[in-house]
Amino acid sequence: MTTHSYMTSSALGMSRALRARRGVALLLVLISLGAAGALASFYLISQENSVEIGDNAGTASASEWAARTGAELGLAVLQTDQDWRTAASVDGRILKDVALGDAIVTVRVTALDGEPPRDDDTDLVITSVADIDGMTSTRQLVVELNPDASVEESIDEELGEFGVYALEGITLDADGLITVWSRNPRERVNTPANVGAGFALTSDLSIDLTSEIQRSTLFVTNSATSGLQELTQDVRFQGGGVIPMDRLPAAPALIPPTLRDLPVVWDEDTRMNLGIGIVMIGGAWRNVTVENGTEAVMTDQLFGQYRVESLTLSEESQLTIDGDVELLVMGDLVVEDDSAVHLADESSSLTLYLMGNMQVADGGVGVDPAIAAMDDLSVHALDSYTDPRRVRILSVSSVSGGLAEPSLVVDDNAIMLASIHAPTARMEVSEDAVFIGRATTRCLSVNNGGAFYCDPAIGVETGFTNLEGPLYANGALLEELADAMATWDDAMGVEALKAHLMSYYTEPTPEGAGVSAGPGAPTPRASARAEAREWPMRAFAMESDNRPSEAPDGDEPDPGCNDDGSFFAFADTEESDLEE
Amino acid sequence: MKRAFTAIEVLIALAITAMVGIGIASMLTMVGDGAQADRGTRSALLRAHAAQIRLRAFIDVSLNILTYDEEQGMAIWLHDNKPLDNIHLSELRIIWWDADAGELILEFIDFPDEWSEEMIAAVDVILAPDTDFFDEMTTQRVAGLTAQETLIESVDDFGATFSGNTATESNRAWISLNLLDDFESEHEVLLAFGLVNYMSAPGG
Repeated sequence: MTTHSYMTSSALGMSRALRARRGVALLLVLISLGAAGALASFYLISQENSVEIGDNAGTASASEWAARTGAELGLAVLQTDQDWRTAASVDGRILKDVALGDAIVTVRVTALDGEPPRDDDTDLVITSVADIDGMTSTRQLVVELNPDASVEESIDEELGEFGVYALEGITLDADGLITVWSRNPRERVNTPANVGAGFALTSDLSIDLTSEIQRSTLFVTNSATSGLQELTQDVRFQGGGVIPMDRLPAAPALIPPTLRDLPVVWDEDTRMNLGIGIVMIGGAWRNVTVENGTEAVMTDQLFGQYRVESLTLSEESQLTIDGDVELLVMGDLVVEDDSAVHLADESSSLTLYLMGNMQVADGGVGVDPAIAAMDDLSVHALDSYTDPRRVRILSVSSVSGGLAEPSLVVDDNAIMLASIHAPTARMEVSEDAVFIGRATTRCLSVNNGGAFYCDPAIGVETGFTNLEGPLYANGALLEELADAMATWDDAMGVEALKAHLMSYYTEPTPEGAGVSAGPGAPTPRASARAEAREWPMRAFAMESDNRPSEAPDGDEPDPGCNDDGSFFAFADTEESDLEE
Repeated sequence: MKRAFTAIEVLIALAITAMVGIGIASMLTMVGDGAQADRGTRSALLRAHAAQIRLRAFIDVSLNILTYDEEQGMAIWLHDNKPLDNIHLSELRIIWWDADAGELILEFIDFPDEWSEEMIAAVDVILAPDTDFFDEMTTQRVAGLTAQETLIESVDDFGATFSGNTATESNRAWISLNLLDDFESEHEVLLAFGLVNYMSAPGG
C-alpha cells in the first residue's frame, strides 16, 4: 500500500507538470495562430481594392472606346443622305441608347452654339456619350459638312464669297481697317474674310503703317504678278491663294424691265417735310427729298416696285422698307444728317439699283434709325446679327444708262449694313464711318478711321475660292466653264452670268442615282459629305480648370467647361480622369 | 516539491523562441517590403496613367509638335481654331521640362476676360514658322498673358523620340519618363502618341 501510495503521489505530480507544459504549448499555438491570422488579414486588407481598381480601368477603357465608336457612327450617319436633321431637331439626338458592346451610347449632333442644327448650319459638333455601369465617357468631333453643291449652286454672280472684291485696287490709310464682323454666324469657327484682288500689281494693294487688314485671306487671279501672288502667304493674311482664272466675272447690273417701265405716280419733284409718316405708292417718281424728321414708307403692299430720279434723306428723316421692295434710283442717293434707310421688320428686304452716286454721311443704311443717329458710332452699336444681303445695292451698267464710274461714299460717322455689287464703282469708307457686309467694287479705299467689317457668312462655300469645289477639276476651272468665260462679256449684265455659264455646262447625273440598295444593304454614304476632326476638349477642360476667373454672373461659361451640352461639353468622368 | 526547468531546458526554449521570433520578424519585414514595393509600383502606375492621359489630351489631338528641345520641352500646335493653316499665338502650347523641380508644366495663352474681341485679334498674331516658340511664350508670360498647369510631378528624367527626322515632321512620338514614387524609387515609363489630326506646320 505504501509503495502504491508513493507511486500514486509521484504519478500525480508528474501529471500536474505535464498538464502545465501542455498549457504553455497551447498558449504558444494560440499566439502563433493569432500572429498568422493578423498577417493574413493585413495582406488581404492591402489587396482588397485591387479587383475594383482593375475593373474600373477595364470599364473606363471600354467606355472610352465605345464613345469613340459612337462618334464615328454619328459621323457615318452625317455622311449618308438620310434626313438626320429632322431626327436632331428636338434635342440633337440622332442615336439614343444604342448598345455598342457593353456600353449604352447616345450620340447628339448640335450646332456650334449647342442648339439643334439648323438647315444652314454646316459646322457641327458630334457628342457621343457612352455609359457602362455608370462609368461614362464622352467624345466630341467637330464636323464640317460639305454640301453636295452643284456647279449651278456654286456660281454666285455677285461674288458673295468675298468680303471685298476689288478689280483695280485696295487702299487702306490713316487708321483704316478691314476685318471680320464678329456678329456673323460663322464666328464660332473663326471664319476669315476673303479679300479678292482682281488687279495684277502689288502696288495696287496699299496698306499704310497705321492701317490693318485683320482676320482675312487674300485671293488673287492668275494674272497677278508673282509679287502679289506671294502676298497671299504673307503673315498679314490668314492664307489665301491663286484662283486659276485670269479674271473673275464681275459685271454690273442691267435695269430690270419691270422697274424701267413703271407707271408714273407723280410727275413732279416731291419734297416730304411735314414730319409725319407718308406711304409712297409703288411706281415712278421724280426727285424725292425726305427731310425734317419725315418718314417715307415704301411697301410691297402697294406694288413694291419704285423708281425715283434721285433720293435724298436729310434732317433726321427716314425711309422705311416694309416687305420686299425693289427700288431704282436713276440719279444719286444721299442719306445725311442722322437720316436712315431701314427695314421695317425681319421679313423686309431692299434691292436697290443705283445709276448714280451714293453718299451716306452721318446717317445710316440697313440699321435702326436710333443707331444711325448715334454720335461716336462703332460696330458694337449692333448687338445682333442681320444678314447684310437684306439690303442689296447693285450699280447699274453704263450699258443701261448708269454712270461709267460711280462713287459710293460712306463717311462722317455713318453706318451702313449692306451687300454691294458695284464692279465699276469707286467705294470709300472714311471719317470714322462703319460699313458692314460685303462689296464688289472697282476700287476700295478705307481711310481716316473708317472700318470695313466683312461678313464671311455671305456667299457659297463652294465658289471660286474653293479649289476642291465643283467648279474645278484637278485644280483647274472646268473646261466648259472656261469656254463660257472666254465668251462672257460684262455688258451682258450680272443677271445673265449664271445662265451664260450654265449654257455651256450640263450637270452630270449623280453617281448611283436611281439605284436603290437592297434590304439589309449598308446605307450608301459619301465620306466627303462630312469631314471631322477630333476636338481637344480634354485639353481645354484642363486649361479651363486653371483659368483664374469665371465669366461674369456665370452667364457665359468658359470654353471647355460648359456642361449643358453645348460646344465644349465633357462628361464628369472625363474630368475625374484628369484629376486621377 | 515542484520541479523547475533546468538551465538547459530554459536555454533551449529561449533559443527556439528567439529563432521563431527572428523568423516572424523576417517574415514581417519581407511582407512589409513587399507591400511597400507594391504601393510604390501602384503609385508609379497611377502616376504614369495620369501622365499618359494628360499628355495625350494635348499631344494626340494636336496638329503638330512644332519643336522639341531636350533642355526646355516641346512646343505644340494644338488646334487651328483660327483656320487656314496658320499658327496663331492662341493655338500654341508649350510643355516645359523643369529638370530642377522634376515637373512637366503646360503653358498657354490666356487673354484677360475683359479684353474685347478686337483687342484679342490684335494680339493673337500669326507666328512665322521659324519663330522660337519657347521665347515667344516666355515673352507673353512677361506680358502677363499666359497661364500654367502642372501636368506631371516627381519626374526624374524626360525625353522624346519621333517617327520622323524632326518633331515637326512626325505624326508619332514616344515620350520616356523616369517617375519617382513615394519612396524615391525610379520607374521608367514609355508613352506612345499618334497625332490623329496631324498637319504639316506652315512653311514646313
